[in-house]
Amino acid sequence: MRHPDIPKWSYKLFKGFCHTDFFEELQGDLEENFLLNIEEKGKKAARRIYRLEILKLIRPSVMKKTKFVPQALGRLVRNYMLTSVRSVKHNPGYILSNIVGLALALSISTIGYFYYRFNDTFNEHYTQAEYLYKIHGLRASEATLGSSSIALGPALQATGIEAMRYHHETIAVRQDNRLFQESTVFADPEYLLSFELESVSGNKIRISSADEIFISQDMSTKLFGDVYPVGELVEIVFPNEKERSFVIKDVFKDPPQNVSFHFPMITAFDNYLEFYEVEANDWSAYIDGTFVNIENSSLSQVEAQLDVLLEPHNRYNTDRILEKFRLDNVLTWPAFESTLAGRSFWNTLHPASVVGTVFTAIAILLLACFNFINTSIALSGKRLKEIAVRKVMGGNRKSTIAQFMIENSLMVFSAVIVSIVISYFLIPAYNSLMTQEIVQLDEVPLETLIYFGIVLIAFVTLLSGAYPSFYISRFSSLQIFRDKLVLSGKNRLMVVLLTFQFSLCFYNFVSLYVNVDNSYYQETLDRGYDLEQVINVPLYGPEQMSELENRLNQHPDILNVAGTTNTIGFNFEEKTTTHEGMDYEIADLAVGTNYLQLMGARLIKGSFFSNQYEAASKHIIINKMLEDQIGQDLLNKTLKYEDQAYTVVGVVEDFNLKPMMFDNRIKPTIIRASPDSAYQYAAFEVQGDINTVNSEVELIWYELFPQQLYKGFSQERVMRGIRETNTIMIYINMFSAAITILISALGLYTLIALKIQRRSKEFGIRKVLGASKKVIVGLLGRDLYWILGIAIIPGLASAYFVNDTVFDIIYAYHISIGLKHLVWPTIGLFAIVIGTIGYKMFQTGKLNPVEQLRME
Amino acid sequence: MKETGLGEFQEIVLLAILILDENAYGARIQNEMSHRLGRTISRGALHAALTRLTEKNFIESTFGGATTERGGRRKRFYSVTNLGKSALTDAKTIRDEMWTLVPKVHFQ
Repeated sequence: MRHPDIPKWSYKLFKGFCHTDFFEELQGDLEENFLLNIEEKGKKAARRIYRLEILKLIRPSVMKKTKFVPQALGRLVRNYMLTSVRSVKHNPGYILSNIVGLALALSISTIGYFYYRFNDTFNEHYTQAEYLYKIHGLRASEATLGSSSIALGPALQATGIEAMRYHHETIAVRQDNRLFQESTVFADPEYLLSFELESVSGNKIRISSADEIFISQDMSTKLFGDVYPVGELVEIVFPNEKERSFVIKDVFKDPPQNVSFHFPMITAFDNYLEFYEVEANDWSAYIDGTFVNIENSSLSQVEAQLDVLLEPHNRYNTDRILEKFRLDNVLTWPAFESTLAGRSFWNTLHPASVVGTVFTAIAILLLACFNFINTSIALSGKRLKEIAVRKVMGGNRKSTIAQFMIENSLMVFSAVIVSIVISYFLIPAYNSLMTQEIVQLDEVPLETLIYFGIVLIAFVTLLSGAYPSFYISRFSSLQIFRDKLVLSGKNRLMVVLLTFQFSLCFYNFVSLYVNVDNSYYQETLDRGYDLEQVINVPLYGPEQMSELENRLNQHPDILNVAGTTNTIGFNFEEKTTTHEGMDYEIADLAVGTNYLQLMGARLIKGSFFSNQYEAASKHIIINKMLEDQIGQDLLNKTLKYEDQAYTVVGVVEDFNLKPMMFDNRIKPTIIRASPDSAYQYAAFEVQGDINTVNSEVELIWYELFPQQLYKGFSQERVMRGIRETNTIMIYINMFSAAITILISALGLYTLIALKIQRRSKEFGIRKVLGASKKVIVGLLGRDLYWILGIAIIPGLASAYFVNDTVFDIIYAYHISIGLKHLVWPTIGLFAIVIGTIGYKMFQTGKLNPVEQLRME
Repeated sequence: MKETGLGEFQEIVLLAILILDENAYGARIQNEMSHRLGRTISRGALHAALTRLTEKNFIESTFGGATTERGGRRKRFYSVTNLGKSALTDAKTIRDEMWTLVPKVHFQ
């Protein structure tokens, strides 16, 4: 009997290969140590060690000494291999395409596996994970609180519980007179004892002094290039403009992606208290999270203590009353991190994305295997005589099965090698598409990969190799020689799978085209203003404007400078205006007097603001949409809002107030002049390369305001979200379109080839009796018409509805999906299908019937 | 000089069996060695060494009674044969002799 916790498949594998003389002893020993390891290192580690032990036991002295192995091996090397290679040589096209299809499917399976693994091993990087808990606050009707009071940690520590505080803040790092926005973590020294972090030289890093800071490898490269920065100073500017130097104590290695804690820098928690002027016993101040390590205490002990601390918490947090503190293990908490209120940690992937990826991977793998099975059967049709002769010469069924199994495993093996090559290119490409690097080969222990590989190869070989081998070897020689054998090839499952696949193909093709078209539409859509040559710089106070403006006006490549309160494309306020007793919801934009001209807003009638604020303060400019909504010529009329009457001096064309995503459509807008004292941004128009000018302005900024972070950004940032979304959509569609069409076309090709083989005599007779080429091609294509005919309906319909819905959600304005979006991809898909199998069909159609009917 | 035919790993296996005395079976030997050497020894490596030692007649083994804690599987207890013991002593003698010949200055 196997202990229930022992890995089942490893046990079976071991039982399979281990010599019976040793099995009892070895399995007994392994099980004894397994139980010991569970106690010492936990279940997960024990299972891992067990698997590793089994792998290391695969050695000749342990294995069964069957007579078959050495004997067959000798024959195998010479004969089986020779025959296998020969048969590959005879049909290189078929076999190569099958190998490529299988290899692609294997690569995708690997990606699928990594998705599964990402969530399965989340936070397991930390060896003490099973003792580590995060404290959450349960509330009556609101979301559970992920953040916790700053006083909670010390209160627990006072009772001897190992608690640690963790908090991150955005700060600025100074380098060569420039500031960079970064973030740093403040943590208790105990944090790094529990959540260990390894330095590049392999030591565990430890916080020992408040003057020290640890930085990540990325950060090190960013700040110091190739220089090893230990001992160097980092200057950090805190939001209240306090500046402080820290000594870099060490550089730490980035943890794998599937852990909750990621940060570029970490320093002592006391620094947080000092620089942000918070009291350590303040119950009303909040930090990212408080963690406990229960290795030296117990869960119930901590829970009891937390119940006691509920009272002080609730006394100081009347707006955040807790019913109870709850402890959640760091292995389980990331799954619901995204539902918490106040969250700052990485969480697991959404289960749907894992299930979706794994499902897709399995579907593609199944299809590739079915292709493989059909190809094997189709090809063996040509080799029936060979099988018969083998049998007559004394070969038994076993040896025939062995021959075919070896051929198939040879192909699976080649597919694995091709798949490794594909993965080598595919995985980085795939990772760069995703926002998070899910496939991290170097973070996975080698033995896990080997196991995964063995299981996958065994699965694929058995699935795709076993059936054809058994099926083909069954035929009796007599039947074959008498030519009475009919290869079955109905393949209902194959047809269903292919239909499903082609639906997907239609879907992907249409989606790809629609997304490319929409992306072009988004790029060329008129926004109502110019966005290429404007840079916005957020100000820390309106008084910075005049100083900055003076300097910017001296710059040769800066054409115009304007101060403003709101910036088009990024912010506005929602207000109500009154005209003739009616209320209108409007967007209120307060801008500098010359801001509209600088942004290239287009005037329809009237004028822009005069350059003097005093003169412009009673004037407003409205957009066309508001005028249309009110329904009369409003120029020089009075509009009332916020209890003030304003005169409309101009009407401008509609322009977008926000990036055109989600429901950010154009709104009726009122633009008023804002005084210098309300400026929050400096906007300026540049000529030449905008990035060069931006970095020159950055230098000017730091000359003027060395303690403040430069946050200048180009107006084109309004496009960023849209561009990123478009790129991801196009790439994903391109990727899936390419893979589905490749594998589906391959499947179709095999299906048709099989049919030709099966009915070759029938076609011969039909031709002799007068059937034309057209009739034969028609007969051959019948399956094809059905498959494509049925697949096109759900394919196109889902492409239409899914993309339309997605566009509605994502984009404020988008193309409407029309006939052309459905017709062109369909034609394209048909062209590909005809290109791959048309030739084969046509060739059969024009074959001389003598060839088909002649016996030998 | 005599050829003992004893590798270092095998020598340590023999010593571990002797240390454990009555209790020398696979898992215990493995843990004892890991503990002494300060590194993990795989059961596979130990098995190979035990097989080789049995072939050389340095050790012999008998099955113990059925147990409850190992899924009812019996332990195989190992003991060092006289041949094994003499091989060990030979190895030790050779080493000791050589150690006496090493000039003391090297270790000051």
